[in-house]
Amino acid sequence: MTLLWYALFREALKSPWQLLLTILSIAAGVAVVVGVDIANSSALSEFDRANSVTDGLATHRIVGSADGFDEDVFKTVRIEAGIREAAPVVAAEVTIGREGRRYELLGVDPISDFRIRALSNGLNNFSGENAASTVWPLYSDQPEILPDQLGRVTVFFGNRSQDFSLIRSQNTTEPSAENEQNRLLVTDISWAQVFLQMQGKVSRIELRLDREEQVKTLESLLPPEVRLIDVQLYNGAKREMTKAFRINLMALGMLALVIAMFLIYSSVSFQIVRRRKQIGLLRLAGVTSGQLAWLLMLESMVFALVGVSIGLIMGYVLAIGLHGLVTGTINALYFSLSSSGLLFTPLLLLKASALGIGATLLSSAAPIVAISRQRTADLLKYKYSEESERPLSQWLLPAAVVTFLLGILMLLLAEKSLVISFAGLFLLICAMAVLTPWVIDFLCGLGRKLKFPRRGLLFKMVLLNTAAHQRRTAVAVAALSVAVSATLGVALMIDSFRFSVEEWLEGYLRSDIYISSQSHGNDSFSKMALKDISNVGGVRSIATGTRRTLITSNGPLTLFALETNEYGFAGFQIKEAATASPWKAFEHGEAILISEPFSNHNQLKAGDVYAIPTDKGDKVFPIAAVYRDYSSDRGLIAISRSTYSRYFDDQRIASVAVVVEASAEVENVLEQIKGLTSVPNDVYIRSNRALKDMTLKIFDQTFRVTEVLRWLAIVVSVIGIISALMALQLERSREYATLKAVGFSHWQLGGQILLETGMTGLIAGLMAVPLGMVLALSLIEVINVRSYGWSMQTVISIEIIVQSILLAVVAALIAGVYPAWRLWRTNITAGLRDE
Amino acid sequence: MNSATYPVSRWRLLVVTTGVLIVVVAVRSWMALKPENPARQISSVSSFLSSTPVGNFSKVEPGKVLMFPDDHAAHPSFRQEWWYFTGNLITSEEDLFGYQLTFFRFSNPPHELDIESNWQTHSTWMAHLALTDVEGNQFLYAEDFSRGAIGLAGSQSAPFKVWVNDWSVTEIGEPCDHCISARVQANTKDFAINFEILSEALPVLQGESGFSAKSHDGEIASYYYSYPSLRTKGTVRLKDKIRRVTGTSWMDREWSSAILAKGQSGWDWFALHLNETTQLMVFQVRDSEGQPYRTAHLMSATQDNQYIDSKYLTMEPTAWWTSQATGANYPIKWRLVSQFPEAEFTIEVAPQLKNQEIDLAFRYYEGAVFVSGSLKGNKIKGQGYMELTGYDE
Repeated sequence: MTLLWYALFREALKSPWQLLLTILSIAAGVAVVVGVDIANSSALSEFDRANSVTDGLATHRIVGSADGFDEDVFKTVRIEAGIREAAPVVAAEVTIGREGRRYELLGVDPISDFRIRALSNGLNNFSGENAASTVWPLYSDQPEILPDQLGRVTVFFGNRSQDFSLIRSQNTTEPSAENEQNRLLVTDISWAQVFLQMQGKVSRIELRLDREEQVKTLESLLPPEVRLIDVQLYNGAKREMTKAFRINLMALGMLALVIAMFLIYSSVSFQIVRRRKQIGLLRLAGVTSGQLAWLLMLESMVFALVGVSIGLIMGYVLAIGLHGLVTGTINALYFSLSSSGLLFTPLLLLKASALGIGATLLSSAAPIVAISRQRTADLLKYKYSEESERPLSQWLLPAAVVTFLLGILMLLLAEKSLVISFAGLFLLICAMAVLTPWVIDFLCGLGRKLKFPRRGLLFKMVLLNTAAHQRRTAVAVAALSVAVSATLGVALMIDSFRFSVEEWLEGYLRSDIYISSQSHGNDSFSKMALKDISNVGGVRSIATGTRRTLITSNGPLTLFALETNEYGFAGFQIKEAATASPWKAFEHGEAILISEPFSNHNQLKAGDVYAIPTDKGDKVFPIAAVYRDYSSDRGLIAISRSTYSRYFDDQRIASVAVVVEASAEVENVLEQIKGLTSVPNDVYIRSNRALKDMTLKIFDQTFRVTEVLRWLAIVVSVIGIISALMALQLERSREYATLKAVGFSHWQLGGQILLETGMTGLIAGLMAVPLGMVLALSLIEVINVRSYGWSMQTVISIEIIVQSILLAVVAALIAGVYPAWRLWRTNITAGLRDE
Repeated sequence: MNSATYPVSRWRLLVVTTGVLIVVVAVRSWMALKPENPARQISSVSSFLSSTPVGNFSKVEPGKVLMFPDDHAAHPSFRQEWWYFTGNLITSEEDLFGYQLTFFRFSNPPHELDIESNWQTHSTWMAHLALTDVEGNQFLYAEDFSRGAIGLAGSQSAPFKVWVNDWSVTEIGEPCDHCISARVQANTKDFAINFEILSEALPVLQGESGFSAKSHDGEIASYYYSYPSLRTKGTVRLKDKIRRVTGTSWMDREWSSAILAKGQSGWDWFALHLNETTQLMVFQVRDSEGQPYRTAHLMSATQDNQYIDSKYLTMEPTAWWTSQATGANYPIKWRLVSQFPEAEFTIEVAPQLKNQEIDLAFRYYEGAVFVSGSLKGNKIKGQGYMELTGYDE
């Protein structure tokens, strides 16, 4: 067996480039999967770790209005309900320095808090004596916070600031990843209340409840304006928010692996076919086909192991880049997540290895089985008959059709399951790939029927060759066309998405100037400021809004309270309405509007009702209409200010929209508003145009990671196509030598090679167009609606299609360069010597 | 504080001073951070004890007339004080129980700056709860803390109430100036107590009309009064099992600003019901360098109270017990002897349960005891409470 192995393997080593490319294909496929996986799980673990630090051992949490609730509720919890594991917290997002880094300031009662969490280990050792006389103490182990000579740091909350005395634990010399992660500043609850102007109030109460009756007792004792939520459920729901995003990323990663599988199949086939004569000889010598198959599988296993090892390293490097993009997107779309180290667990390693090895063995199995079935005599024939394989094509078409239909069926029946939707999508891709040899044949046949002008011989040869070698190139072509179609599909989807968002913004932003308060605290626009803005010359009308996120056990629920007029209301692009005039229902009938994603996620339609946990207890609201909205993938509830004020104790106004008289100059009005003294100086004042630009900028940022993965898929497939085409061309060196001998020039032969590879690329590109469109449609109509709840208009851009075809051609041409260059340098005798 | 060695009142001062340390560590470092006991971090109690108190607190001086019910409530100008309840109980099946519920108040080092937050406080509170189940051979205990803010913990005189979170002693029935009638209740997941206590007698003023000197020169002292005999009835709960009990409780009330000096190694304190009408309070402060400081007070409903000076008293351990949990070695049996004329006694003290060690913020032994022996030639048989501290170092 060892000898046999040696005999076979040495033959494989004869073409090191080929070997390298095979391994590279495996490595590239594994790398993309690993990269995405690491980036995803690192982001998740950051989320969990950040939670475990702030939540501590808390199982439940009492929450209330945006600006907190009565601190006496803590007394109810502690004395009436007799719950010992309870800790009040006053919290707000603050910055150190006016425009500095953001931190969460926690005001805690240390004597209660120790039962709930371990905020920082270092502070335990702090000697109490120094702290005893400390005024405005601030605890933090964040190494980047540097105090002035007096040991103070200035903390900003909105436009208020306060000097705190920074106190670090004794062992702050080594910044730990955990501390870096927390971004927490801690002070006593009394100082926090004064600084945040929350006297008499707390933001939340953390609880550790271990008995069901405690929950019941609490629920019966708590006043209606607060809610008891389950921390795990809440965090789970928050985690769930990013699920669609993560699955989408993983699907793109898997796509790379699927492409890699095509390539592995192609390379392994080639490796085997090249050695068919030797295999035939071994069979003559009495080696059974079973033994040979076993050996070949073993060989693939070795390739797989080497490829996976390289892939893991490449994947890690890739993850470094992807990680930032993933965290960035989660930050922009969902919740603030500070980036820390990458998570590289043994499990992750194992998963990726199994995937890589499995994919390699699976892809190698087909050619190995095929060669085992060949008759020894056929193997020994000089000219390997590709014609004999032809009958296979007979069932290609029905197989493709069945796969395609199955894919469509899965897409349609997947309901809310993203994984099944993506599986369906993958089947569509497979169906198209299976059709590749048939398409090549068809296109070449079509080409041959054309009447060629002079010098048509070369072109005819190219067509014949392409068709003749399709058995060899089909898989590589399929891989390339899958990759190109994926990029085409994703590009079309993003383009459609962007178009829809742009169009939506155009209708939605009906005002000319938007002013919003940037702090999340209780700073807001005063009545005075609103009056002053209305009185600025050129201002026709103003509308105000507040976004308020309610914490519920089902996750965050965002309300958008709006005070506007009918003109502003028309900005809502109603998708479906329950009444003839949603405006009247909204303004006078206590009805709410829900955004499209909200409607999709919760299976709610116009005319349904929805219960909102208000400060006055749960209240059921009728849904007047569903409107288009791309500002939140989780969904929004729009509610009129008057209704909102009735059910929530919240006077804050977070944003103001200004409509300017037709005769007035927007820039002019904007400058005047900026000059108003009653308007807080830390607000954002933007023109309609600027806001649109900013929104689209965020949009583009969000899709950067998709963009990157798309290109990675292309890179993998280019490696593959180069490997496959190069192998083919190199194998035909004898044929080229013969042609040279009969008088073909270098130019003619080089041209022929490039033309052939270019033709292959063109076929792949053309095939990618319909497949790409199907993908785009599935992404737009199915995946996006299911992932994010957004519907959009499909836009087919010719420019993107042409780009994709060109991409395929260029990728293929690159593959032709080396063989052409090599041919240039070979002399005829060397090429013919093999005979 | 000068270098003299101050004998100090009962070991409870240790509790208090340790408590102050807890406050310093927990409150002054503003964060208690491990979800276990914050006081576990205290490394050396004695180093804290020898430190100078922070801030200016009122001094305990002789001549002050204690006023009731006013003095039932807190005295924030003093550094520390406590409301100490212990008792021996029995069920109708004659199963014995003992309990301890103590409320400690510590003044925080004063702040220069007063800010407008209800959470600003000058007092931090701690409470200890323990239950001895003699038949069940188990000893249960728990602690709780709170700042004296937003009504979480505090005290008031009329009607009398002292509480830390949901543990409280609250006056019930008709208010009266000197007597006390209250509900004592505290509960944890595993056990709870709920009693009515009643004393128709006046409080006993310890020392000179409530000025209880703790040192020979009287520099260190506390204001101190007791209700040594409180009729008690109510329930104890073990897990889900509720038992009716009756018995006798003892309440001690003390406040001061003093801190002990170096050299003290611990206290042995006894609150004993010798018979239906006679109670004995006796303690010694052990000194690593000199003679222990001892004092006793024989109290009776029918006769005059009798103070017994150190020189007439001997207190000797007769048996020791080593805690498996902590390794500390405690003298759990004692022979207490008085040779004072008209007040001779020889009393044997034995624990009702060996393991009554409390291992909370700090370690001590506090438990129900049996007493037997003779008083003025008459045989006595009774129960009581014993505190032992300073045996774990």
